[in-house]
Amino acid sequence: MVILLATAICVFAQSTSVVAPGKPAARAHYSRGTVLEAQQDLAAAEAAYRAAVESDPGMAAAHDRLGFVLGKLGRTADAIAEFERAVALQPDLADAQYHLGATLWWTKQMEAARKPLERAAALRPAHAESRYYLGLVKREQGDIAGAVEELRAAVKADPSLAAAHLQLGVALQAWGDIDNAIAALERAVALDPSRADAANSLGLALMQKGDAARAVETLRKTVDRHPDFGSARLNLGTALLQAGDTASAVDVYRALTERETTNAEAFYDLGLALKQRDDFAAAETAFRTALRLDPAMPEAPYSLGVVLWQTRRLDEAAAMFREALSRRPEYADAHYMLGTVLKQQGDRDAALREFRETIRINPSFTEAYTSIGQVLTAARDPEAAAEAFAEAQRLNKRKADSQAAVFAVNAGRERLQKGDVRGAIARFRDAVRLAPDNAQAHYQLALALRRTGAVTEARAEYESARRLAPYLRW
Amino acid sequence: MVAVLRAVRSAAALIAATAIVAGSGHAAPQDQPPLRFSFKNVAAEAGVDGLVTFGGTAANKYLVETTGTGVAFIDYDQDGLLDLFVVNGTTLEGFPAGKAPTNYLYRNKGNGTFENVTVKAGLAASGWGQGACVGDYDNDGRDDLFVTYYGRNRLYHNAGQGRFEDVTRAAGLGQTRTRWGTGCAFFDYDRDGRLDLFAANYIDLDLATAPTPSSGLCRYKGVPVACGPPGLDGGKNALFHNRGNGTFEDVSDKSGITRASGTFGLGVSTLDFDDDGWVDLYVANDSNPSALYRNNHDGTFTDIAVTSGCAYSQDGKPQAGMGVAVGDYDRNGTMDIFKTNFAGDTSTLYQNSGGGLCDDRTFAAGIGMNTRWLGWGTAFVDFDHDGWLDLFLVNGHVYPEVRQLKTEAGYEQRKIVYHNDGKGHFTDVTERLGAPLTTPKAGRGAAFGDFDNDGQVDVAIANVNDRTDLYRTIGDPANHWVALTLVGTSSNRNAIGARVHCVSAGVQQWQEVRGGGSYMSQNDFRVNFGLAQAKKVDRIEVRWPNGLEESWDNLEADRFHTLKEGSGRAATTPPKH
Repeated sequence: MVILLATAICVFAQSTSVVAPGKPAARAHYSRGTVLEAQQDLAAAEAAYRAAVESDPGMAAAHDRLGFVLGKLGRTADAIAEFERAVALQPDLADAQYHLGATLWWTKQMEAARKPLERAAALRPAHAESRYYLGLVKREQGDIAGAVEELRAAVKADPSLAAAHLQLGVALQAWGDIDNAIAALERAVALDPSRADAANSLGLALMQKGDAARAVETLRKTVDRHPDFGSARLNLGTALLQAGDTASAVDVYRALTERETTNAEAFYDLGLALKQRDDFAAAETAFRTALRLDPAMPEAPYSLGVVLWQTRRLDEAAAMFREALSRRPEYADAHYMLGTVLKQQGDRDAALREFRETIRINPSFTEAYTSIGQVLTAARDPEAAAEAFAEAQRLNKRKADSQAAVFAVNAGRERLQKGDVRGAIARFRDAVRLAPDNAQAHYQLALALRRTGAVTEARAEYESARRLAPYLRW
Repeated sequence: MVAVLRAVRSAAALIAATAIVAGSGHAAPQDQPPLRFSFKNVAAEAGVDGLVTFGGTAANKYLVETTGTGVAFIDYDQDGLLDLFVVNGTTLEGFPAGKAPTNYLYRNKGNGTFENVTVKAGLAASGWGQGACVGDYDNDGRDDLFVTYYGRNRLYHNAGQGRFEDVTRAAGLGQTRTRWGTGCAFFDYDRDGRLDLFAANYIDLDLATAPTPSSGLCRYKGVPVACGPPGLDGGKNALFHNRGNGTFEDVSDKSGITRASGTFGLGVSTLDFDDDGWVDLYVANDSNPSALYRNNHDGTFTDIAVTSGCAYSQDGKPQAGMGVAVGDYDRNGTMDIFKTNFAGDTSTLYQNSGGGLCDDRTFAAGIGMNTRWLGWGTAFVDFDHDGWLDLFLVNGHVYPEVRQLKTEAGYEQRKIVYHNDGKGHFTDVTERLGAPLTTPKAGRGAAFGDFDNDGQVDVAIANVNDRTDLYRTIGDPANHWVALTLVGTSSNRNAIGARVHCVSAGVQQWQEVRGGGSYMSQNDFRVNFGLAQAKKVDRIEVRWPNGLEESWDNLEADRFHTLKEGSGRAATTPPKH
């Protein structure tokens, strides 16, 4: 293993010495090997460990240490082979299981990595690194809940493990638990301020929470500390846009496009920022540059299409929306805007096709139903138009109810704070009725019901909440 | 792991971002024809100096602190001079007894100054005032006043001798609970000659339970702000039928007014959308499809805004509608609709196609060039009297908290004046006009009327936590005009709902006498036509609210004429210079 990515702890940065059983000669070679290893004389250490396993092929610990040294020497495949020998000889050798699992993770062999890591964690539940790597594997395999559990165990076992806090934060973010994600990422940054990726992830999480001011502050520091970290610059620009500081966002993006002249995303984001500053012409130029630099990016032709539409260049706009669709056929927004242009050009049938395609891709695209209704009204098909309008209204009501549910949950929590549990339950029930897919509504209702002793109903509500948001805990 | 969050790339975000730098779409100065009008703020010298108090100055806890107030032009003493009524508000903290701010009534003295006669007139009421509308609901020759509140609306009967009486309860308009009344309009929907009353309602807001900024649920560009309207219960609009005996009957449900596609009503204007002689209503709804109530001729209304294309933006999205202007900007004989919206969005120009449909011409007409400003009061007015209706918009952000942000437009914002080029296109001429239009204010309601009777339509503007503005319009005498006062006899006296067709030198124009308008405000009932170089009006045709059609020929330009229903003759009055 040559490259050790900054986001993970180094497997081979530590060594857990074990005085292993074995034949005396083998033990002598083994001991010599550990001394040489401590002296960083890896070649000699390798020789010593090889001598140990030659003396005693059944000495699992020696195979493990040999594998460890081979890993440090960059001979990963050989290292894996030795670890495998070690665990085959002694399955309860925790170090070997850990080394094997972690190395397999590094070589992206997730399926193979899981079993040895699980074994290592079972053998040594308080071994932070084993839990850490197991968490990474589970996340790669899409088991976010499992990943969070392992990473939580890792930070509990070793609160100073910055990488574990970072990965926990990222996993929680993916799960939707933004508040706890932020807390974990803040811890990662506090433990190791030099970690650009941690600060960058923290900035993203803050943006997700809507705390634009803190996101800007965090990302600015990241960029100042790591000027070559392009992603942080991009995110800083986005945070500035979120905070409404379009002028500064433009400055950030311009600086990035000057440093990275082929960064299509930077030009694209620059275009967005310029558009918000009403610099239409410059926005168009930026979008066109992004379009040229990245033939695969569908957003650039789409955004350019919107600019062209708004400046009344309908044919060109339609062409751009079609270009976006050629890059991403399932681009609902592009179908919708193409339909809008076609509708304005009087091509009702083509417009309807695009609006219907929009809905096929995204059945909740309210505006598409409204537009269908308008086209059908103009085409003198009032019945079909009425159906479309009715669906738009239903979707709008769902959105409105969803927002009302958020407020109802808040009102319920305020009542709880005042000790009015009944009143709180009533508000939480309102929230559930308004938005049955609101996890917090079910969750808060569960907690409130539990306080009244209605445990069965509380449990049921909790299960509903967990189905929607697995990170919620009873 | 390196993660990058892609910026939002939805059409909404992009549309919100569209604009052209003000002035960038203009021709070079030497190519632009000179503007034939300008404005001067005469509020201070006129004595229109009352402060409009409205909510917290630096931060607002509830949305009720953000809406500001309306203004109304009303000739309450029948002396031929427009007086000015300015609605006032309050604060959450309230005031000691006797110290609460009150509404203002300014009597026009005719010499360019006004006198504060609020107390004398019996209009010194306090509270969360919202809008005002004017109408002689009992046809006794004196204009009455209806004032909406977050709280309880009030009907003031003009008793003569410079005094008003609060007849709310006696008229059957009392309320049993708090409601949030906003834009209103008097109009005769059943053509019985008596003015009925419509009041929009915004939010069913209970301050005891509404979420606050501290909940963190409501943010604008990351800053906690007052919550709503999405997530809150919408108010239900109200319609009251005038029984003719000084009382009104609530026909809100019976009439179908409460069955609309959207809610959160703000600006209101009457108009005859389908030109069938029965007055309709347009309501700008916030964050919801707007409402266009078509009069069914039988005491009921149907909201046709969605099906007619007058409800949403050009790409099908609900907008934060605030103010409404109605006028025939393209001179095709149909009443078009203009609506002001939120920052990051365009205003909306709906061309009335005449077939019962709206054609959104926002971008085609050049209106889409501005999205930075947050619009409120507005009107179509022919400021240069070239025969084409221009547009005037009052702006100001909703949240005073935006002062913390480095956004371009800020909380206090400039106005916008769009000049109509006569080819279906508008040009933003605000920068060319300069101050006072470019002076940033937190503007809200605006009433349009000729307070100095010089033939130019002036503008009164209510600002949040600031003094009222009174812009005197200064025009170019090279272009001519005519102003008409319509007096109903069997129709309602104000002639609200009348349609006026002006023919002059081959040019045809149409206007109406309207109730409500702008943002929670009431404009001058007089109809003002710009005649360009024509020195006379060849013919005026009036379709009265009750259906009678009459015409008058050969009216002098640059004059005020009074047209009485049934008389067929105009009373000519020279203008005051």
